[in-house]
Amino acid sequence: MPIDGVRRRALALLLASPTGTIGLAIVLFFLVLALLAPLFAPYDAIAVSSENVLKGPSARFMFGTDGNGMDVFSRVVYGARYAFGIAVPVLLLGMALGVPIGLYAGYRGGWFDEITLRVMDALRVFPSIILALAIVAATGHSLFNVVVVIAVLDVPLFARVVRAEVLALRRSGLAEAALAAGNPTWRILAVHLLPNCLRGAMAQVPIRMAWAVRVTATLAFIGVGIQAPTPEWGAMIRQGSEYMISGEWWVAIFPGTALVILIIGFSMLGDGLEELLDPRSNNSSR
Amino acid sequence: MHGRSGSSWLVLTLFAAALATAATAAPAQSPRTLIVAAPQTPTGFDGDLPKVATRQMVTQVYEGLVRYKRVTGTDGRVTLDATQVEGHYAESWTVSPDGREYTFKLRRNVKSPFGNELTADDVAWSLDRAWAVKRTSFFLYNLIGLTKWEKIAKYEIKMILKAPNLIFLPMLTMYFPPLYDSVQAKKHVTTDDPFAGKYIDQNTVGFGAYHLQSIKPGEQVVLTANPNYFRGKPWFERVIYREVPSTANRVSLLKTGQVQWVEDLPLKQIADLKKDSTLKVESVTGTQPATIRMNPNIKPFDDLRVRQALVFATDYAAMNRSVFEGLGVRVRSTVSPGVPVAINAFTGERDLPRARALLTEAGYPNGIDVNLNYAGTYWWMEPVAIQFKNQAAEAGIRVNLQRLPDPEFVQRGLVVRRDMALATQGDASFVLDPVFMVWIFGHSMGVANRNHYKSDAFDKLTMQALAETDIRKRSDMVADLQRMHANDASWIMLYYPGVHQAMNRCISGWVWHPDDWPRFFDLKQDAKCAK
Amino acid sequence: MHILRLVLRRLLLALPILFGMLLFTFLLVRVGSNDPVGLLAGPTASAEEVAAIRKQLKLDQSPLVQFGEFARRVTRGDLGQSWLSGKPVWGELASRLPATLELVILGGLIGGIAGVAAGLRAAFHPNGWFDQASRVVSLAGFGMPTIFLGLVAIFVFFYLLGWAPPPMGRIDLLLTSPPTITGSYAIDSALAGDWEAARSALARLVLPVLCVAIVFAAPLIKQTRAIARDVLASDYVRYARAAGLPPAVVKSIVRRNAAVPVLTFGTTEFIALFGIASVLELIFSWGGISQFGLVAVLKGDFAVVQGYVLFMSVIAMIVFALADAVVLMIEPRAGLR
Repeated sequence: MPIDGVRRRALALLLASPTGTIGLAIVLFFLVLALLAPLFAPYDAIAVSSENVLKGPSARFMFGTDGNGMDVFSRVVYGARYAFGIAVPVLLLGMALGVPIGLYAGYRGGWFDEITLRVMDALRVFPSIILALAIVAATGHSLFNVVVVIAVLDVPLFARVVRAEVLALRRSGLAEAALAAGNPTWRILAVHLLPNCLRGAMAQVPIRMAWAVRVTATLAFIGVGIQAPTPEWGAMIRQGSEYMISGEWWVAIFPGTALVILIIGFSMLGDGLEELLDPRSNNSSR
Repeated sequence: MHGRSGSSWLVLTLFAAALATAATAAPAQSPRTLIVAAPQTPTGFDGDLPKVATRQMVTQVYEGLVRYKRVTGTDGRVTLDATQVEGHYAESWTVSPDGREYTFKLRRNVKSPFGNELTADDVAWSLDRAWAVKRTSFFLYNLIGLTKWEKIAKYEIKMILKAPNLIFLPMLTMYFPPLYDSVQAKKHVTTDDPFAGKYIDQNTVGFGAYHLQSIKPGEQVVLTANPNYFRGKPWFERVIYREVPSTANRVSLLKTGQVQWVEDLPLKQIADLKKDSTLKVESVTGTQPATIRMNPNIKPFDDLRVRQALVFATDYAAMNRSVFEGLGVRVRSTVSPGVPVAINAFTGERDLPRARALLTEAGYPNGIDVNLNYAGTYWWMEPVAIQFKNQAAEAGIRVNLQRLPDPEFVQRGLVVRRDMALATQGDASFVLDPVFMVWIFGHSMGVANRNHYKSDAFDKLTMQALAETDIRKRSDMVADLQRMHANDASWIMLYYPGVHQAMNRCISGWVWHPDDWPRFFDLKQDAKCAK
Repeated sequence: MHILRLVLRRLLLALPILFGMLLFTFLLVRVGSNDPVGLLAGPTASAEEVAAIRKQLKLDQSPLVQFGEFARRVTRGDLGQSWLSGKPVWGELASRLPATLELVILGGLIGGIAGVAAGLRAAFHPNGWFDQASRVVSLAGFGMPTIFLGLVAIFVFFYLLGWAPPPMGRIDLLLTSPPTITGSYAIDSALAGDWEAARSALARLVLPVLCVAIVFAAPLIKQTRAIARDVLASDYVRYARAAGLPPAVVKSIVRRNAAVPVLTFGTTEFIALFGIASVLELIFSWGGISQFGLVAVLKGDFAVVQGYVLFMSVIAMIVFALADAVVLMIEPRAGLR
C-alpha cells in the first residue's frame, strides 16, 4: 500500500532533520514517562507525608516536597499523564470537528463556506486564553470542559488548513474527475480529498499539542479547570509560585522545566514535520 | 550654537534644570503614615451592605456605644475582658428592672470629621436605616429582640427589647449598627435613596478615629485621622491601604520595610516570619475554628455512627503539623477558648479501629464514598481537604474532593440553602459571649449553622439560655449545650488557625478584637527604633 | 478616502461578529450556576433578602427579556455594574486599559521590531550562525509558557540578583501615581515633572515588557523568516537576482513583499498579547484590564466578565481595522479582492 511506504520514507526523512529528531525523542521520552508512570515514580502522586512539608530536594524526595507534603518528583512524572491525557483528546476532538468542516466548506463553497469563515474570524478576534478561561469558569471546573473548550479553539485552525488544501485540490481537477466518474459527495470527500488534505493537518498536530499543553497549564495556573490535588504541571506551578520568593524554589521550577521541555519538544517535532512535508511551508505557528 | 560644544552646553543646561526641578519638588512635612498591604482594597464602605474588604474599613470609622474593658496582662499585652463592658460613645446607661429597657446617656463632644456632634437623633436614624436596609444589623438585633427605640433627650436614647437578653450589651460593642453622622448623611438623601445608600457606600460618615480620604480602585485607599475624634489624635495620622494580591509580595514588602502592616498571611509565611528577628508577629487564638462539617440531614451523615467514624478517622496531630505549622489551637467545642464557660466538650483523638468498627456497624464494612466540598474563602481549606482525604482513606473512607467557586460555596452555605453534605467551614463569632456562639453555630436557624444541625432539645435549651439572666444557671446551660453539640458529632473539630498579625518590628499597641481586625488608633511606632 | 471607505466597510462587517459576541457573553453568564445573588447577599442573608436582590437585578424575568434589556443597555454604552463592587463596569475597564496598553504596546514594539529584524536577517543568511541562534531563541521563547517566563524572570532578576524592583505594581508603593494624562505612569510622571515617580514606573516596566517582547518576538522570528524565504524563492526575486540587481535592492524588494503577510500575522499575534498580558499582569500585580477580567472570572463577577469580553472584542476590531488601514497604505492593491 502506498501509504505505508510513504510513512517509512517520512520517518527516514524526519530522522534526517536534527530538530525533528530531538523533538521526537523528547516527546517519546515524556510519553514513556506518562504510560509507565508507576514504574518511574517512587511515590503515589497524591500521597501526603505530613512531616515532610516543603522539604528541599534530597535523596528521599529527589525534587523535594510541596506545600501539602507530596513528592514533587512523583507528581512531575504523573503530570506527564495529564499533559498527554488532555492534549491527545483535545487534538482528536479538534480534528474530528475541524477537518470535516474544512473539507465541506472548501468543497461546497457557498453560504456554508461564508458562515464558516465568519465564525472562524470571530474566534480569531479574541485572545484565546481569556475565552477559554471565561468558558471553563462559566461551565464548571472539570477536565472534560477544559478539553472541549481548548479543542473548540483548535477547530478553526484545522478547518482553515484543510479548506486551503481542498481549494488547491479543486483547482487540480481531482475532485471534478471523481465527480465525473459518478462518485457521491461523501465518497469524494472521504476517499479522494481527505487523504490528501491530511498532510497539512498532520503538520499542525505537534504544534497544536504544544499549544494544548500550554493552555491547560496556564488555565491551571490561574486556578481554573484542574481540581486539587491533581498533579498537573500548571497547578503545581501555581502552588509553587507562592513559595518562589520565600525560597522554596523547587515546587515550581521542576514542573515548570518539564512543561517547557515538553512544549519545546513538540515544537521541534512540528518544525521537523514541516520541513519534511513542505520545506517552504509557512503554516501559522500559533 | 553648532558643533560639539553647543550640544554639551545644551545637555548641561537640561541637566541643571532637571536637578532644579527635583530639588524644588521636595515634599512638605508628611503626616505619620502607616502603610498596610492587604489582598484587596475595599470597594464599598457600608457596614450593613458589606462588599469586598469593607469590614476592615468599617472598624476604623464606626464604633459602638459601648466597648469591652481593656486589661493589661503581666506580659504587657493588652487584651479585651469579655466579661466587662464599659461605655464608649455612651457615657453610662441604665437598665429597667425587667431587663428589657436600656437607656443610654451619650457622651458629649463626640464629633465627626464634618464637625457634627453625636446625638440621640444620629443613633435613632442609624437604627432606622438598619431596619430599612434589612441586612446584618437588622438580622442580628431583630433576632435578639430589639423592637423599639426612642429619643428621650438630645443625648439620651432608649432601646427596648422583647425579652431580657444578656447578649444585647456585648453586641453593642461591635460596629453594628454603624452609627452615622445623620446630619451629614441626610444631605445626600434622595426620594429613591431615603437613607443615603449611595453616599454611605462610597464615603465614610462616622464618628470614629479615621475617615476616608481617597480611593483609587484596585490600588489603594487612604484613611486620614478624624481631627475631631473624641479620644484625641492617633499616632498614625494617615493610613494607606495598598492592594497587593500575592501573599509572597506582601511578605516581601514587609521584609524590605516598605509596608509596616500586613493582612492575611497563610501560616507557612507566618511561621517563617516568626523566626525573622527584624519583624514582629503577634498571635491570638481568635474565634474562628477550622472545621469540617457534616450535614445530618443528608445521607450518609444522617447516621450518627458514620459521623463519628469521620471524627475518629481524622489525624489531628498530623493536621496541625502539616497545615497549621504546629501553631494551631485545638477546637474543643463551639465556644472558643478564652471566652467564659468554654469547656472541653470533645476530648477524642484519632482512633482508626474504632472508626472502622463504627462504619461496619452502620452498614459499610467495605468503607464508604463521600464528597468533600471546599473553596478558596480561607487559605487553609484546600490543604485541610487534601490532608483529610489522605487520613480518612486509612479508615476506608474514600473522599472525593470537589472544589467549588467561592461565590457558589458561600451561596450553598447560607442558612437559606445549606445543601452541602460535607464541607470545610470557618466562621468567626464577633461577640465574645458563649450563648451567642452556641446559638449561631448550633441552633437550627443559627446564622453560622451551615451544616444544618437540627435538634429540638438543643433549640429549646438555647432559647432558654438566651433569655436567662441568672449567670450561674446560664453557665450551666451553656456547658450542657456544648456537650450536646459535641456528642451529636456533626463537626469534625480541627484547629483555630489563630490570628497572627505580622507587622514591622517598631510597631506596637495591637489589641485583638473579635472581628479579627485591628484598630489602627491603637498603634504607634517607636521613633527611636531603627527600621 | 479609498482607505477610509474600505476600513469603514470592514468595521461594518464586524457588526455581526459583535452581535455574536454579545449573545455569547450573555449566554456565558447564564450558563452554569453563576448566581450573583450569592455574592451580593453575603453569608448572613435571609430568604427575603435573596428574593429582593433577585428582583432588583431583574433576574426573575425570562432570559429573552433579560437579553433585550442587556442589548439595549450595551448600545447605550452601559455595560452594567460589577456584582462585587457595584461600580459601573465601563468605568472600571476604561480606567485600567492604559496599564495594559503600556505593556502590550511597548512589548509589542520592542518584540515586533526585534523579531522582524531577526527573522529577516535569518532569512537573508540561511543556516548561518545567526539563523541557528535565532531558531533556538524562537523555539525557547515559544516553548516558555508565559506563566513560567514571568516567574523565572522575577526569581532570577529580583530574588536572586536584586536588579529588578519588587513585582508589585506599576510604581513604588510610597510614591503616588501621577495625574492621568496618557495613562502611562512613566510618561505622566515625566510630564508632571516627578522624576522619582517616572524612574520608579520605568524600572517596573522593564521586566513585564521584556516578557511580553519575548513572547511576541518568538513566533514573529519564525514566521518572518518563513515568509521572507518564500519571497526569496519566488520567481520574481529569482529573476531579479539573475538580472544582476545588487543584494541591497533585492533585500528591499523582499522587505516590501513580506511586509503585508508579516503584518497580517503580527496583528493576530498582537491580539493574543492581551491574553498573555493577563497572566503577566497577575504575576506582576500590574492592575491592568486583563488582570481585572481574569480576576472577575475567578471571583464569579460575571457582570464584569461580560463587559470585559465585549470591551476586548471592540478593541480587537479596532486593532484589526487599524492593521487593515496600514496594509492598504503599504499595498494599495491589497484592497482589491
